[in-house]
Amino acid sequence: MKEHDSVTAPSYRGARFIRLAQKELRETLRDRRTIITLIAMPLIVYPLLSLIFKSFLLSNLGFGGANGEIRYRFLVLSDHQRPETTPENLAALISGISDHWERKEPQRRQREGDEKALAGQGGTPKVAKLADHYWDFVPKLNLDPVEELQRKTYDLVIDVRVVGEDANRQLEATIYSSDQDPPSLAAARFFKERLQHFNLAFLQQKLMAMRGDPRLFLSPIDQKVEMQEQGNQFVAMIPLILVLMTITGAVYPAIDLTAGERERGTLETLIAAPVPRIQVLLAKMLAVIVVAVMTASLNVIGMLVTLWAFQLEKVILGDTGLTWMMGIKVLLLLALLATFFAAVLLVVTSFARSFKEAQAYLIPIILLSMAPSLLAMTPGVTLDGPLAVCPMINLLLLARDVLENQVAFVSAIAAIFSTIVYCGLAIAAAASIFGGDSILYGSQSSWKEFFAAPVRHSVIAPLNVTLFCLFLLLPINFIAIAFLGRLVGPEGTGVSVTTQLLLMSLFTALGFWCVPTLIALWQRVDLRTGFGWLPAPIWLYAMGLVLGFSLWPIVMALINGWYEVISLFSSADAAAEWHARLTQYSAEQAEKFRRTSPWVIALAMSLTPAFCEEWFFRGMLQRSLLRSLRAWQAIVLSSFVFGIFHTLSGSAVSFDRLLPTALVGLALGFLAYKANSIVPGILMHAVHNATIAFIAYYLPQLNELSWFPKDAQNIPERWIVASAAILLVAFGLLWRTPARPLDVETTEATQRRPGG
Amino acid sequence: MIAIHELSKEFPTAHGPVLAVDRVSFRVERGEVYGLLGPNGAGKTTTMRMILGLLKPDSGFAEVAGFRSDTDPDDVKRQVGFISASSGIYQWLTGREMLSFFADVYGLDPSRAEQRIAMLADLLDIRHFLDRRCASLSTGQKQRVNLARALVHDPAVMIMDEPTLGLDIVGSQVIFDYIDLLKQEQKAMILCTHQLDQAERICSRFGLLFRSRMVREGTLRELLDGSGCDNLVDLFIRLMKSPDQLATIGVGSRL
Repeated sequence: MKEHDSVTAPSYRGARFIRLAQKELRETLRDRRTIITLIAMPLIVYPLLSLIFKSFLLSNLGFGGANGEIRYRFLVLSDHQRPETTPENLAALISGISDHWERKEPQRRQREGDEKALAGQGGTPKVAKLADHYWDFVPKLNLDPVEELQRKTYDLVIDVRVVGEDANRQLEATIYSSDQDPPSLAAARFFKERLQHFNLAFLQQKLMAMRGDPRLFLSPIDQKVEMQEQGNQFVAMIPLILVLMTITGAVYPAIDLTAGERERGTLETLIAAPVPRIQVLLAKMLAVIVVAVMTASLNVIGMLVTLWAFQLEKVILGDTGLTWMMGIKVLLLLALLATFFAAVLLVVTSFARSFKEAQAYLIPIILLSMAPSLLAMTPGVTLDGPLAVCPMINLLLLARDVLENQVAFVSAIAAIFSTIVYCGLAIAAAASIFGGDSILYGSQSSWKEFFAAPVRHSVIAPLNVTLFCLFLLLPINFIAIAFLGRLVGPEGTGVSVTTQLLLMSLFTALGFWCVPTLIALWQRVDLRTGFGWLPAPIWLYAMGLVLGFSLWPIVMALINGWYEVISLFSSADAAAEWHARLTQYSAEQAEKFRRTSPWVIALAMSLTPAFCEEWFFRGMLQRSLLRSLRAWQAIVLSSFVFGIFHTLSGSAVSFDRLLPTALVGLALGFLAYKANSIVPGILMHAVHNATIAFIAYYLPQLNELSWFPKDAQNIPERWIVASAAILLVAFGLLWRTPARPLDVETTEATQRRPGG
Repeated sequence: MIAIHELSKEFPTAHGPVLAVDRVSFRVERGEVYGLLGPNGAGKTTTMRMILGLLKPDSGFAEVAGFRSDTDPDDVKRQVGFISASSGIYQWLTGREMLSFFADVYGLDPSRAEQRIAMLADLLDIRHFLDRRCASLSTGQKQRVNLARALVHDPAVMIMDEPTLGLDIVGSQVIFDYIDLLKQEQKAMILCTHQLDQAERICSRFGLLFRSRMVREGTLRELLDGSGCDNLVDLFIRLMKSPDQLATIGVGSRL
């Protein structure tokens, strides 16, 4: 009967997935409605917007005079007591500069032509003569030039003073302007150009006559003023713009490929086929991502071309303008945003039975997505703590930080990883809704179906259930860490160490044991088989114990090795500082732990995490992954997630734990896979954690023994080699052991809901 | 090949639950076309959806080629070609693209998919418009593409829910001719149609659904014997007009 078995090889599945995605893309890209959103925005909207923006900018460029000429506001600061810098003298000098420029008729025409080009087309208001602008001459001590510019009372501030003595005397002017304020930028250009011409002519004259009045020579010094907040305003708006662009691109295909299937009558046909819905949904998601990124990229290109053509790029993007690096960053951010929105939109549109219904659902979502964008624009909000895992907000903050070149590595990883997890969950949720009979035939309330417990028992948790669990654990983990941090207080002055450790155990148990167990019960997953709480051969228990005892030197070495990795990527100083911090942190922790009983240490550091983490990571997660992935993929993925969970403790100190934890995770995963049980792994985990915790705990006593190194972080190389050798032998032995089957098929088919 | 045991399904409505299918049982063997007949709302479509695993039965179960549709829906779906009056097509794809897509969905490898498509294109006479976008096809052409779609994975079982709805006489005739052909290929088929004359011609056996229940089952002869009717249309009209007479014409006893 199973004539198609030959075609389920993973490589084939991969190719099939690409073809499924191709179909979705073809379908949506041939639809002229997609094309309209794809092309119309960049082609029509941006040039239009730029025109409006440009005229707005120009109207703000200066105060129009009586005849509509642009006039800038100049502030001249000087010592009014000195004869050279009295307002009268300086005003005369300004008139001189102005007159000189006006006299140079041919050059002026040329310049004016250029200015017109800068301003865009004809019809641009003319700029008044230099002397006819607003000039205020104020004694120096009364005003702060930077403040005046930032408050925008003036477009340009010129601070004039006399330098040198007698014959060498000359005037020097510091010119304060801001590149981020278009009128200021224009005023500076306008003034300096005229001054330069004046000075050049004067110099020529002086060289010819070899005499002259030094007071007339005004040498400028440029002083750029950074506008507070104002400068970042546009960059801070970019994430919002990217969000809008991606949503614009994603909305139509998301509706079309889900609710559209139902409307066209193809949904039933699709669901009548034996393809896993998650695969169909993933193919659809890929298509939505591609269209969203294409739309957003075209939008970005359209916007940039328009900015460039209107010479606005420096005003918007700052002095550097557009760089390749920035382009790549924007593209990566777009891909991330598109992935997120594709997943979220697909969940929502999977609920809908028609285009109209989908649109009704999506409008609040789009509005809702604006709120976090505004938060990301608020200065002072940083990407860390719970915000780093807060959906959407973390992406916007990440986008802002990336564009401002201020990315915190750990937070960025947390943001990206949590987003990927959320997307996985969203797609799993979408797959459980998409094509459900309530959507197909509109028979019942779809929400009810979404939350309903499954009719059948499962031997191993389905992937979507596990992902849902992971989705809950991520914020729970973060909140628990933040909660503990709050209790401990800034200097560890809060609750006692024993209470802290017991609370830590409680949180671990709640998170990794309670939540998965409750979800499994709700979803009718058999606890013994679902979590691998099964007997294993005796020798595997023994192997767990041996591995638990012998892994710590290699783990310690890896933590220390991270130091080398840091020095590769940053300066030696930073690496040394990191190392010092780690040493200090470890010493403090050990010191702290010594204040409590070893039993509490054993419970909090070894027994609870060993049991609860194995229960979830090797039990639920890995076994669930093993159902749909190859063994090595499931093991690697679950140990990576295991590593990430240990990394995300909100401080950079723990980032060194990723590699060693993932390695221990690999060993635990391999053991659990071969044993078809988490029990040997629990032994290994408990012994491993206990060894490391008690080495730190009893370090002073150990140091008295001649065979133990003074510094636990300087482990003798032969210990590391021995540890690696044991690991290799264990690996070899496990490799040769055939994996014990999960037995999903046989048991599941026979178990049915009573009375169902 | 197909065995249905006591299938029941209830739908909740604003006015309380409605029993759509009430303990329906029947069997279909290879090379047999089973005509599932009945007025609108009798429960034909719901029964078919439960056989395919698209709807979960409240009780009872359906088996296709030894697989149960409630526990192994994917295995059942692999055996079944499904076509209904509401089966849509992807209007932006060409017929060939749509068939290749479904070949993929059913897990055919690309070379086999190509062979099957070429074979079906000749069999169903759709070759000349196979590379045109489906949006530009006529209703009859679309339904032929849909039939090809249902057959692309060479299923042992066909479930057809009013496959000729909306087609003209010629279009319907073409579809029925193919069903006849499939019968010769020893496929087990369930056909639900209101074109009773055609049903009489090609169905081997019939099941009459009325008010959610199977009221009569058998060959054409068995149905007409003792009913005083000459053909299915007469029997049907009589049934619809006076359901109380069911007992007098020998139907209504539980099978």
